[in-house]
Amino acid sequence: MDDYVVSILSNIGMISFLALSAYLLLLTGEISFGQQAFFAISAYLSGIATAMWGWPLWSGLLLGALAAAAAATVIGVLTLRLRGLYFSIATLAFAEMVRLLFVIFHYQVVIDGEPVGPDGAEGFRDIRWVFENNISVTEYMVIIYTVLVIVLTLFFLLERSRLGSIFRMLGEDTLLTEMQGLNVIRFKVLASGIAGFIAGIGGGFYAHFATYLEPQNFSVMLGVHALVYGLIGGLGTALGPLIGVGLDIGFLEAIRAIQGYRMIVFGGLVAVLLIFMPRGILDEERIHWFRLTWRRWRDAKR
Amino acid sequence: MTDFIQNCIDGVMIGSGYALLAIGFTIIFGVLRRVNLSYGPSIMLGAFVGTLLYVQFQAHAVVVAMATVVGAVLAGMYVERVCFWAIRRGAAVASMVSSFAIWMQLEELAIVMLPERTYPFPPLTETAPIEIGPFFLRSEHLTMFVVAVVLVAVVHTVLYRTRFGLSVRAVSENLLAARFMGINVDAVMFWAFALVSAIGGVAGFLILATDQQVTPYFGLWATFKGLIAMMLGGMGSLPGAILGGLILGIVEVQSLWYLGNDYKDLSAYFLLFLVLIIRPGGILGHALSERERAAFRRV
Amino acid sequence: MLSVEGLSHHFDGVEALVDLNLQVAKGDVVGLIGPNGSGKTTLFNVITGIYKPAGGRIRFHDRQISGLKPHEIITLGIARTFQNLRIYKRMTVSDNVWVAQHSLPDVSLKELFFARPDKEREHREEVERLLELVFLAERRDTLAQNLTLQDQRRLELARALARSPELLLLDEPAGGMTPAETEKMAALIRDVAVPGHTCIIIEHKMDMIASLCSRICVLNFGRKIAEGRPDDVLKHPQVLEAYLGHEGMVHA
Repeated sequence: MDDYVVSILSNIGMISFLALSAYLLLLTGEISFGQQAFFAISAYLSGIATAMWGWPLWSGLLLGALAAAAAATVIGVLTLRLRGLYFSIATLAFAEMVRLLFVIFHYQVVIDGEPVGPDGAEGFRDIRWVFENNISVTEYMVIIYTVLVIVLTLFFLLERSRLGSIFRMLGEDTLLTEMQGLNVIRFKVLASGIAGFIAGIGGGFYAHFATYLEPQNFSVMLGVHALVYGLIGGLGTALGPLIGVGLDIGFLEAIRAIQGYRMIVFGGLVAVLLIFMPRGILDEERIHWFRLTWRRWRDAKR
Repeated sequence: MTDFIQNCIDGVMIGSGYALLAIGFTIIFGVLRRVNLSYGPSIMLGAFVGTLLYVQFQAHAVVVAMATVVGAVLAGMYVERVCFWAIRRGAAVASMVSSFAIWMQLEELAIVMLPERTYPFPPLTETAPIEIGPFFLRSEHLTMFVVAVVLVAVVHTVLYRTRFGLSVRAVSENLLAARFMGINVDAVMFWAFALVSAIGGVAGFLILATDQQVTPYFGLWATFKGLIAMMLGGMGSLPGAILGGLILGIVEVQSLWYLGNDYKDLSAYFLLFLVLIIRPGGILGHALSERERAAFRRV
Repeated sequence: MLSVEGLSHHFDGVEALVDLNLQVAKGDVVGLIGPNGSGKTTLFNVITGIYKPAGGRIRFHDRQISGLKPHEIITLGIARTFQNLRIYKRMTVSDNVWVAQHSLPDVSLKELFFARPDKEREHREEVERLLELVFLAERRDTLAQNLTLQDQRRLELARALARSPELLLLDEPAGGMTPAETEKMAALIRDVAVPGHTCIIIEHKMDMIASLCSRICVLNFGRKIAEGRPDDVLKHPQVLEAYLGHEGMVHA
């Protein structure tokens, strides 16, 4: 498989984590413009762990994801009282603060006579654990997708579980959910933490794929894209955000002929799509229809 | 102390531009109950039309201003039809996402039209700064401030002394009731958008003429400033939008002076975050009703 | 069972409840009536913890509940329906009832994610039983948003019953229904909600209230102006004045 295709597929994989993170919060009814902050925190921290402290990849990734989850939990608690646009702008403000903090963040150690570490706006170079340990780009892509499949499986289990329905209940009617005897605060914060963790996984992978991090990589554009993927792919299933990612990064990359006009085409497509499918391609109604149809087909065969 | 006051003066001047942007967001949110992420980009497109005239035809500043406004209005109408009118009621999120998609479109369109990173913009005025005692007042700033004040007065007059303004306020309060009273809600929204785009066009021109340059990222920048100012002062409140804009301007200038460029935007976002956490309604907030507040606190 | 003592509450300077006293014993079926804005739904909101009362106390089984969080109060054995109907529109009928079981004491936190098959089967059977009780079993896979109003109200009732509550608070269960539909709803409440539960029912439809309730309590401007047997209360001069002063009573 040629390197370019592997690169695209890896990108799709990593961004999918971010999209799933935004999707989980969307299920609970919150539009977060800031998941890229947790992506960034994990990227930097896991990079620091492997490139500066000599940790192995797995520990670094785990540390990054846990830190992202912790930060997300804190933000989740702080923003509990906020609804709708207020919540969204608060997440935006937080994410921009994180990005700007990385611009002034300097932390370097000397390794083999060279300074290594985040250097503010200059970025964080040489996160080379993957290369130093002879993992090829293809192998790395497989690792990314293996973890992605695990996460997706967990999402599918979630859909069927009571916890998953609690998240959707939060999204539809928070007051009613409290009236079912459920501690809404606890579940909202839980959702924030899990979403942060998932974004963190993606961030850790990204740091070691790109080997170079710059604060401007983690701008609002990244976060809004992550959000939009779920909203156009549909909120009925975890496959929705992946479809969104695939459409943007996959499909449009493929149309090299329209390179200079890619955003014009994509933007137009999305706008038209939303006129006919305001809740995305695989929205709850469509998924419900699929489930019913499948069940009828299965029962008919008996 | 002199510095502090000078910074406040500068902040208020710059903030008047932000206030205009915030007013645009506020009216859209008030009337449509939706967020328009393409507001900044549509202004930017207008600005690119303006700069095109400036670069190709050496147009006069007034012509550039008019072109900016016209361009912004046309772009705004496009956004309104595609993202808001075409999407059925109740799908507010879809409108927001659609406006994001169109934002991407407009940004790329601007880059396609004018491929260089930066383009010049005509200066507002050529006169020297005015001195008032120990303080300086840049004449472009003063011009921007005066025009902003005039524009706010115009908006206020339109909203409170015309039939159109009455319908806008009626639709903002209760869309269904307004419809039942015979108000053509679609038309109101369309023209409210046009008005807001025009205001944005003027705001954009003023800001860009002060900087004397425009880039394709102006759209994102303007969106941020407008949103932050609106949320600082209190969403849905026009005086709040103005106050928010002025405060944002002051905070930016002060933190730039005392803390340096790296901390300028950081301070603004930090302030916004604090305000939202502590007082979600904004500084002048359209205060949540007691019922809402009480209910939110327990759940 | 439920004791409301000297309850008062206000919003934005408007007094919503003033020195309200109400005692509900186990097995009672109490009607709560009064003109619009008299505080009936507010009383429900305060009992279920959505608002913390400005003054007074509420006790459930001699335990002070005013001041507890709503979800804590619900788990003590209270369930309610809503005046403007609250159901999960994007979920199916059976799921709407199923979700009410999430907080049953026999569902642990771990089981929210990994369900035990035997318990789940029991729970699902219970859901089915409830749906049959309210005649919605055939619509179990329909999305709640696609039901008729009458069916949606029945769904709300089934959901309220799912936790086997001791106290049922029904807020205008026949709201928006025609006289014929109201009769059916009244019959359903009599057959399914009243037996084995203590009920407080808010309604504007006097025939329905009179037929279901052993006792009626009347509110006006947040105060209790009458309480007693339906026959007595509905002829009470102050009650008549309160209603005729507004819109006149609704006979359904």
